[in-house]
Amino acid sequence: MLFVLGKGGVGKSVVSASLGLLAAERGRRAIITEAAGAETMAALFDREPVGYTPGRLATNLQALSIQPGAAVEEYLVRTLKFRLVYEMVFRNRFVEPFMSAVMGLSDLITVGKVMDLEWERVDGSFGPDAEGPNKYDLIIVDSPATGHGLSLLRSPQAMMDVTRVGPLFNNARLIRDLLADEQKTGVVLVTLAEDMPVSETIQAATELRERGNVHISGIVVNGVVPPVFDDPATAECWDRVRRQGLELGGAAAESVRDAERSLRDRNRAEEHIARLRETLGLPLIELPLLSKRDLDAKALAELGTVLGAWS
Amino acid sequence: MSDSSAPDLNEVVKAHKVLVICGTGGVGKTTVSASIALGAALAGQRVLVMTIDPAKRLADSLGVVGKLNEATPIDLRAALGDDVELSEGGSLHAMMLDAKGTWDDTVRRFAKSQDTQDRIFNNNYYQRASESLSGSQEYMAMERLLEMHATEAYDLVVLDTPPTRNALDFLEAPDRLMAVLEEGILGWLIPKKRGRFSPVAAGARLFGRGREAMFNVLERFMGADVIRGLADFISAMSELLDGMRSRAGEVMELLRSEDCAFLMVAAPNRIALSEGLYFHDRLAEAGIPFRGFVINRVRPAFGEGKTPATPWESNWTRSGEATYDAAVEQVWDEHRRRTRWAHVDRHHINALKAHCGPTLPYVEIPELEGEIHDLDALRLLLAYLE
Repeated sequence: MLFVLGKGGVGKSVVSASLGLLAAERGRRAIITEAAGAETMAALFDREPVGYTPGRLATNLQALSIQPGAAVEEYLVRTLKFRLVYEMVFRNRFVEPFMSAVMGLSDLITVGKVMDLEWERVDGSFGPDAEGPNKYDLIIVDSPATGHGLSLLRSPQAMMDVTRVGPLFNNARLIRDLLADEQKTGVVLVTLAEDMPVSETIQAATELRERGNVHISGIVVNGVVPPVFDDPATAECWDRVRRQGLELGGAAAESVRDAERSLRDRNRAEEHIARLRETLGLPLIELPLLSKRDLDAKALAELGTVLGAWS
Repeated sequence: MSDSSAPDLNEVVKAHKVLVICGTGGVGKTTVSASIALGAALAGQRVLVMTIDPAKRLADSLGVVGKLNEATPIDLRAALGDDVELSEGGSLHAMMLDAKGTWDDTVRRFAKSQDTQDRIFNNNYYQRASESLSGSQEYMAMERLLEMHATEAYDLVVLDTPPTRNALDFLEAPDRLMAVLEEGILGWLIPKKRGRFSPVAAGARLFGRGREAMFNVLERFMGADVIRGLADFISAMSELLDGMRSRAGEVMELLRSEDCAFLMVAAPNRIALSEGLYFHDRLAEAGIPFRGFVINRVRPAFGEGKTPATPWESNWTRSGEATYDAAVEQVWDEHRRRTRWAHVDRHHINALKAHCGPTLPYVEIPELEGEIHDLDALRLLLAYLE
């Protein structure tokens, strides 16, 4: 299981999709989960919106949108066998949000749903003790923005602290232990090579490490501007080219100004990436900035290949 | 930089007392809010900018670190130096909002007795509810906005709204929160008395015989302590509702009034702009005054129109030296890449304008280099906000 975490707007969904495609191409059955209402996966793959039952994105790749209402029902009725509680409390659209917030229940249930997927077997059996091959080899969780994403991972412990006893407590403990299992669960932190996102990533990684309840698999730096003049011979010419271009004026001068800006952008990006590497010492991969008008499945597949350098 | 038929942003800023700045996360909302506020202050207005969780360095530069829920004056002269022109009477205050602190204030204001206050503050669930109840931040931002507007200490209050996945959540959240508190908690758990919630009756009857069976089940599910704590919290909170409800009504009235304008900050990409469109349409439906877009981080390019495929079709000429010509081709590739980006952004912005019509200001801020985290950098932004 991979939880893909990051600040809003850094491209968590794109990274999730790329990871999923990569796994699928290698013949692993993968599924991407996202929060209800987002429906980003369907849009990225140009498909009909997926619902609470898994929908197909590509060969070996499915997506599922976690709807709190449906997840709560499933959790209480199927996992905990408390249909009465569900009928009384959670079918009430006004009571449910309150209980969810006060108890942190909706976060727990979102994580719980992911665990359910982990517990599903090819033969249809289900549960922590079920035998046989898993229905999904890789579960990718396109998580909410950093703060909320972190509270998602914290939710089992939070529930245990509140309840201390009973079925809810026991289930939360199961989930917590599965999250803490390095063999099974990892976090991927997604960021941009910019000041604020990098600082937030360092902060999030530090917090995760201090709490020690989940393993960080690595960092993906998204949208990195490509190197400019990275071979020494061209670099040597650059100064002459620059001077001549500015002298020529017109389109030549414009192209020189654009190249100058690219160089500066690249240098800044490199500084931020160096800071990430030095501070955290985690495996890190860079995804190039895509210039396509909008991401399509083909662009995603390309990104997936870059991510492949990782495993 | 707006269309000639539309009012420019400065006019919009001048004509209103409250600016609500909306947008999804990551588009630079806080920076734009601070910049607009700074501009108005330099122009001689008394301005307050309210923000939730701004970039730490921006907060540092504004000098509001650690001070929550308090309007902190910013010394513009000290921050900007002597050569900056400051109009008479202009001032800038900044306030960092904190949902928990504002809840505390709300409890203090509306609790009818010290006992109720203590019961709420000492309740384990209170902290959790005040932080994570969906809509809390939004409700509290509105609450604060109303309060600051009412002081009449400012000519302009700029509210940087909490980041929401969907910009519209911000508007709907307070209503939803009230519905949850009223209908849900009280309607379900606590019997009404003559159409009003009666805390006294509520406390006594919460575990009444009719509901005993239900609570037994809940108790087995969550543990007895949990249920008892929740019940106590709910009955104490019920006292606050009348006060909160009337405040929520006043907030909506303010937002619909002539004093208030909504601006949206968007980035020029498909997702951000389609949300912008949706937001624009929904505000119009709700009768709330939408007054313009600030499109941030528009990727600039030198040169316009179509760029030829190779430099040799432009005014570059081959030198015959292979590495030199290769370097020129690389320069040209960068040029083409950036021109393409600029076209993509232009395409998205044109689609937005076509949808929303020519009567709104569409202010564009180019993608600037480096980070914006001090007043000087904010002042640079001002040049684009005209």
